[in-house]
Amino acid sequence: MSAVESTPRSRRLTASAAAVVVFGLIGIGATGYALSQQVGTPPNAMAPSGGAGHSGHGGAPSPTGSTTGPSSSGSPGAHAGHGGPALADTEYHTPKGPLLERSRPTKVILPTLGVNAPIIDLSLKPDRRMEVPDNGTEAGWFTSSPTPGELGPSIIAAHVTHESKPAVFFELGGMRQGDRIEVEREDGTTATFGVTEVGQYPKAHFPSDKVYGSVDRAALRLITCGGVLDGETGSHVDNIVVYAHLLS
Amino acid sequence: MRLTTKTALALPGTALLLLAGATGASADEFDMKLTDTMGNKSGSSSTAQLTVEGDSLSIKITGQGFTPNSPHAQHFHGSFSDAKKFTCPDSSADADGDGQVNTEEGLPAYGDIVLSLTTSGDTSPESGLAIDRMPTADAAGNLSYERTIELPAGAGAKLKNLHVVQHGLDANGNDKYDLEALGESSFAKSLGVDGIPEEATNPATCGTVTGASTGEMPQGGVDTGDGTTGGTEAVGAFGLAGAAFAAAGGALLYRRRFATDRA
Repeated sequence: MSAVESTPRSRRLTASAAAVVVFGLIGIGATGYALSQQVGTPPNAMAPSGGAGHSGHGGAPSPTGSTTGPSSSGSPGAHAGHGGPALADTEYHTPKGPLLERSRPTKVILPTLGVNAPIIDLSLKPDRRMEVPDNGTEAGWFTSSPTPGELGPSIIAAHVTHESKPAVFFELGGMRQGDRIEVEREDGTTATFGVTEVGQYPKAHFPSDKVYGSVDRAALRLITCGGVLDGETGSHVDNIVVYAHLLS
Repeated sequence: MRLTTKTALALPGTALLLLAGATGASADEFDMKLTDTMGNKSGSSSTAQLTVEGDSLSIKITGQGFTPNSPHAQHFHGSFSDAKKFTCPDSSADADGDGQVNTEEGLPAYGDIVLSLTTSGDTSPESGLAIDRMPTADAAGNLSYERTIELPAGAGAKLKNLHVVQHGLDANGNDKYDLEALGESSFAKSLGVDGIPEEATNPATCGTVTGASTGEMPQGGVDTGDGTTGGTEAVGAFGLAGAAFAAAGGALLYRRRFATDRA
């Protein structure tokens, strides 16, 4: 306090002045937050440093070194065939990083976003699109994907909004490389993942192979919606995908 | 209007979903890389895709650098019952120092034959040397193989920890298996088959599961935004903002009143 004589009245005046300032600031802050959270700007996925987003080929080699050795990965004929033993791959290839036994996920925790959501099962709909939770509070694990911690891409999806309210993955696009993701599992263990990339794609050009395709380690993909709201269909035009690798 | 349409569509959809659910088990998709980890100078390598649905295995192998126009015995090695950790041998497994890790020298690392990847008929370990039912490399040394196999009960879940070994190499570079290169196969001989060149039975590639993908790939993007929002998100925050501004206003009035009183 200052030199002002401390009478009940002056104290009330000072307190009320403080209240004006504090409430005013809260109001401004909350308005700013609310404005920043309008549809179209639930945090969009910014290409994090180190090239992500719609990361194409031809960039720098992946820092995680997910393709090792002189590549025998898939593309037939990549190798000089018979008679080129000097070029032949002789490495014993095994999955990279830690792996956990199969166990269904029960809860997903995003410490940086303050998210802690129970997990339900999701399967394929008859039109072969993935089911989504029917509420804004649960996340879902795609049962045709590996369980979180097993080899391969485990898929967890949740709504960005539901019934006009922000839902579980409202701020997913704000996740950044290096953020942690924890998944609690039925066997009592917790799988901890580190975010490697955040991507945002038009639903019409969803990179299925990159999201669902083969990976040589235990991986996790968190999926939600983003981008502008399409007035015609009443849904978001983009998907946001958070890519992560098992750390422990 | 829109709701009605949605409900009408949802009903047959649900029925279909139940039917689809009944057929049930989801498949696991795995990849393998098979390479000459033995340092046997086979020049061969393959990739394999596995789809495991319960105890049913669909396997597709594509390889290159194999002894041309020659059959290549290939098997899953390991154990369907042991929890033992198997691996692919490197050149240090060459116990007799002849420059080749032969089948016997490799067995301690990758284990016994548990499944013979024949082109037709029996797939049990008994068909391990059934050369007439093993895939043959073409004139350019390319090898391809595809088959769906019913496994012993409970074997499906074990498969991803086991190893595939492809046999047969051309050590002296004359594009065929011959006794002049490495002599007679002691492995075949031990099983009562004489006169088989060691080139035909020595391991050319070995590998295990290196990657996995989502079993059934969903079509397109994911419908995780619902269409109910009119465009205002973070309603709560706006509400908080409103309340805070109201409180600020109230505090201001309160303060003014005191100030006036005082003046």
